[in-house]
Amino acid sequence: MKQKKVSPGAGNWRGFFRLLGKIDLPWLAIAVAFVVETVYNQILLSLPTTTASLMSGSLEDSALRDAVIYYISYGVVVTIEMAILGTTCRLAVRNARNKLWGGMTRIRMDYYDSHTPAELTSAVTNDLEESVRLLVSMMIALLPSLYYLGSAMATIAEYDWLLVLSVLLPLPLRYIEMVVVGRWNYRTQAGIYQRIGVLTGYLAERVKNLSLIKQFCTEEQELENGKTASEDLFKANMSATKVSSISSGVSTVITVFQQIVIVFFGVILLQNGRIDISEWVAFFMFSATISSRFITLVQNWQSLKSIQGQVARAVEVMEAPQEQTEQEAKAAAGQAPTSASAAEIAFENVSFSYGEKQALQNVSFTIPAGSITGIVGLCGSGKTTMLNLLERFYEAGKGKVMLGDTDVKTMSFSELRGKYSYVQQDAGVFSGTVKEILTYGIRRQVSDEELTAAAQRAGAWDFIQTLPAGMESPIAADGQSLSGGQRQRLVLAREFLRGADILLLDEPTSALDASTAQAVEQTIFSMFRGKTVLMITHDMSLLHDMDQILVMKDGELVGQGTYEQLLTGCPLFREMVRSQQNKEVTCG
Amino acid sequence: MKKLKQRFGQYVRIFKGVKLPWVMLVVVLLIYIVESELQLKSTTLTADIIDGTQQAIRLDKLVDFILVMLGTAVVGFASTYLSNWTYQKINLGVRNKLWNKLMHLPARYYDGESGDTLVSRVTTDASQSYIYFHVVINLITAVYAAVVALRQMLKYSPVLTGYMMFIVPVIAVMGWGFGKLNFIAGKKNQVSFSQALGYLVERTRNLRLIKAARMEYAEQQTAKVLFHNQFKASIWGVFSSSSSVILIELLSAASMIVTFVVGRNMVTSGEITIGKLLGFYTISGMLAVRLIQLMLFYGQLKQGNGRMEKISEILDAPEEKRDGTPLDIADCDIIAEDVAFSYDARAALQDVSFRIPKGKITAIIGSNGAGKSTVFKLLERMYDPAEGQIRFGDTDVRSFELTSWRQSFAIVSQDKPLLSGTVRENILYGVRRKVSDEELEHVAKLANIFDFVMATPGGFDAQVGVNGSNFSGGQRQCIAIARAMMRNPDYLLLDEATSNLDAKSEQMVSQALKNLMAGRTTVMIAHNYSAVRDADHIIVMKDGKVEAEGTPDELMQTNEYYRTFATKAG
Repeated sequence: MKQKKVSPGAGNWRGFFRLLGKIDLPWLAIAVAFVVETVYNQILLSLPTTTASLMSGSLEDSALRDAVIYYISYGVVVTIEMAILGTTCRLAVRNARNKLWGGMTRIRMDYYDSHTPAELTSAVTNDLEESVRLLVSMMIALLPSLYYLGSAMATIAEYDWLLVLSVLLPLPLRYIEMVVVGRWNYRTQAGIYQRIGVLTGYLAERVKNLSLIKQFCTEEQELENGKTASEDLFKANMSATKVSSISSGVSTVITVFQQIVIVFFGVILLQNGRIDISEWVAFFMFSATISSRFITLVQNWQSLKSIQGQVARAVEVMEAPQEQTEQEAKAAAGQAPTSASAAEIAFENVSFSYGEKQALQNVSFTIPAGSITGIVGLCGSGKTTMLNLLERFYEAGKGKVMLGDTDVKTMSFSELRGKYSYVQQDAGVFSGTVKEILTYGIRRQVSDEELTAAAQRAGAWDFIQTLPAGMESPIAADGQSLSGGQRQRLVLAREFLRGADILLLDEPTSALDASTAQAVEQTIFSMFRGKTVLMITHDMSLLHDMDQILVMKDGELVGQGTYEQLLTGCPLFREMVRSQQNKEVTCG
Repeated sequence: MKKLKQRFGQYVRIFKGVKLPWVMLVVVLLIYIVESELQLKSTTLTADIIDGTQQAIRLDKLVDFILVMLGTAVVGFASTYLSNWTYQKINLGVRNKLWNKLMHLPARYYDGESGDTLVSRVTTDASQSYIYFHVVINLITAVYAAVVALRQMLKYSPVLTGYMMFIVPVIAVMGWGFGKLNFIAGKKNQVSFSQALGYLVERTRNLRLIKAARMEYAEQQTAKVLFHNQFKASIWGVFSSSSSVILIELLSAASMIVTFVVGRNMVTSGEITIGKLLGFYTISGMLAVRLIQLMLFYGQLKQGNGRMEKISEILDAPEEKRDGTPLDIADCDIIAEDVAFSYDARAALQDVSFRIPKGKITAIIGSNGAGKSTVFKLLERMYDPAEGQIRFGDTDVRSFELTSWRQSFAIVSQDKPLLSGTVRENILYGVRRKVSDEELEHVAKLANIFDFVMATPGGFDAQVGVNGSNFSGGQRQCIAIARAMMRNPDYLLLDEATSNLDAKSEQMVSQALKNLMAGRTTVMIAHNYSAVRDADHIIVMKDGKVEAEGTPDELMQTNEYYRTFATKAG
């Protein structure tokens, strides 16, 4: 594994500031927290002096009274401090999440495609949580903490400067310990956690394939494999424990050494009469807090370094190229949004590549409004890319994609995408009630009658009625509680309600079995009669009735025309018709 | 009370048959006790040293003090390491037991559950198995330390101890309250976290839909509510920890007043030295900490219980019946007679009867949800029929030994699962004999994988990746076919083995399948006619019932569904 060098160079600091600058920090709360933190430190400073006389054996009324008053006020302040600091940090995390997710919804598709959904999810959940909390608490506590350290030193210097020396002397040792052991700890643990991750993944894979294990009667073999994996997991955990307990052991020894030095100095000064007993007690208390403060500072420093990766990821997502919002588009154009009049689609010499990979080459065609067009071709021939360019999930590299007489590039995303109904291969629905699924993305009031009518037309009404709460029935995540056909019908009803002029279908029935697919296809054609339809399909039998068919091969348009025309004019098409014979095929 | 006993029995059963490190548990307990003794010792020594400073420094005490501190460091190391070893060992034992159980559970048990929940049983939940032992050991230590501290307090001054006892109930109530508050806060946090996580997981998977539906702004608003809920839940945590601080501080102020107001007169009258009074004060603080600790165990136990309950549910589930006579009869027809079966409440099969003739190709057709896959599962004996029976010739299949029954089947399905490991390991998966390289190559060629495997760096020793992700869908399917060939089964079950492939891959797979099917009884689920063309025998299913059964020619005459199915080929 390649070790990333951990040195907080200027670039990393900029990363922290960039993150902080982007997340809508709760400034008021931070200011309040800062004041409270300062007060808290001030009170903490007077701990040793107010309680020293009591602790050193004075039983005066005043000593006791001071101590009691002190403890009560300390209790109150420390509670307020914890509550406000904690709340502020979490407020900041919440704001940061809002901001990051907001950015993510507008992120450009090319960026989205190069990251796994799991990465994006963890950027919002885990990455932000720890890093923002740490950064904000550092922002609040760093200065008051330094102030505390300075004042405490000054106070004990008043007792005797040698005392200051005794506190400072062991600190370099402590620093070295923390940096060296900390780094060793961090590195070893990283390796160990990676191992743990692999083993956990191994077990997870087997558990998910239990049926396979049964089919192959490999229970005994897998039992042994699982035992070995668990044993390795045990060993990995133990190495982690070894590392962390050695680290903490070293740390304890240094603490003891520190105390010895402090006691040694103190006792000598006490015997020489340079300090009195209550000063000695106060000093003893100070020394403990000073070194714990110092440790905290160094620890924070270490953790800052360890969260660099997380911060970088979060910043990367926040700074990723985003699509313009409606308002931004209007402001940029400085004019009323253009509007495409007709639902006619035209590609004019369009080329496009995903990074190195050429996906479309010089493609030109026209689709008249109200016509039905099929797109066929082998996997990876650029069919879906054409829909991506129409939706402007990607921008055409060369050439123009026209809607009516308007270049899609000049339209705002919102206006452009409002013109399409887009049906994906694997019906896309989010969890929610049936009604929520049907009205997803629809920006007008939809009456119950209208909903029912749309569901009926899409052939979804029958099964909706069998659900326990009808339209209000909840559908589980990813719509798993519905069959593929049912989900696709819900999507069709939704797109029907949207009433867009152009229908883009990307293999809408490929996930369905033959008879369901046929029924859904019939529904599509009858529901959306009169609209401009563009359908990617592998089902050659569907193509008979289409006004126009586009045949794609390796990013190029190799045939265009009606079924009969292509059968005679396009060899690839002929071959496809012959070989396919009604097989359902997808790019899986 | 009876319920409690039941529960207890349930938890004890979890550890039945697990080899527990009893010796180490005792050692850990002893180390914990030594640790608490050292802590006490260092406190009394501090008291002695301060007492000493009134006249002169007690160097001997100072040396003792240093020794005690060093001892604390060493014992601290030992206690962390050894306790972790012991607890991990317990986890290991339970995890192995759980794993063993998973291997022998009937399919019904995990079919409904999503893979992820089971995974977290084995990984996350099992790693909490030690919690009972942890709590018990800490409980004993805490009680021990509390008693010792109390004894030390009594030694310093019985009168003061008596006064202190007024505060103890307050501490107990407080500790209980914190435990409760902590528990609530933790739960709220978890609930709001999983809500937000579920939302994000779903949305990040299909950002395209959000964009196409122009729902960016609305989704931001939805997320805002979820994030705000998360914030509110986390404030509970802040509230619980900061309120615990104020109570502890107030309590320590109270105990300070008691100690010093009462103690002052005792010092004046010479009943106690100042150093001892301070020592008393410190130790009474230690007692309070121990008492609070005792109260917190409740919450820990409760949290552990939730996880252990799920584990014990699995461990208590009945296992598959595996014994029976070995399957050594020659091939027979497989006959289903009035079979009914249901998952939970939903009837999947009703009155199903059919025959699978030996040596022939049988195709099962029908729309989604007709019960085709369920038939496969019954044939493999993943499930047993609720009513009726499946016979092998004249014998009920349930009377055969499970392993030998399943070994005579191979299934190739559309999800083509491979397990991470090398290509070779995948092909030889479940094969219990030595296989020569020649044989492996021969099978690889028949399954159409030889060429691309050879072109892959590492050849047969190339890693397939998690779920076979290093290979394409068609290649994975062909590897799965090679795996099936290697087992040389009498019966072959094909569950849409060629769907979801592009034309080129399909050709490759079909060819491999043809080689696999040669000379075997084959049952296939098919969605398109081309796959069915070679079938000798067709079963048409609809809504959990057999609608028709017969040769293709017969069905062409009699069955409407089959006719549409066959003619749609166009």
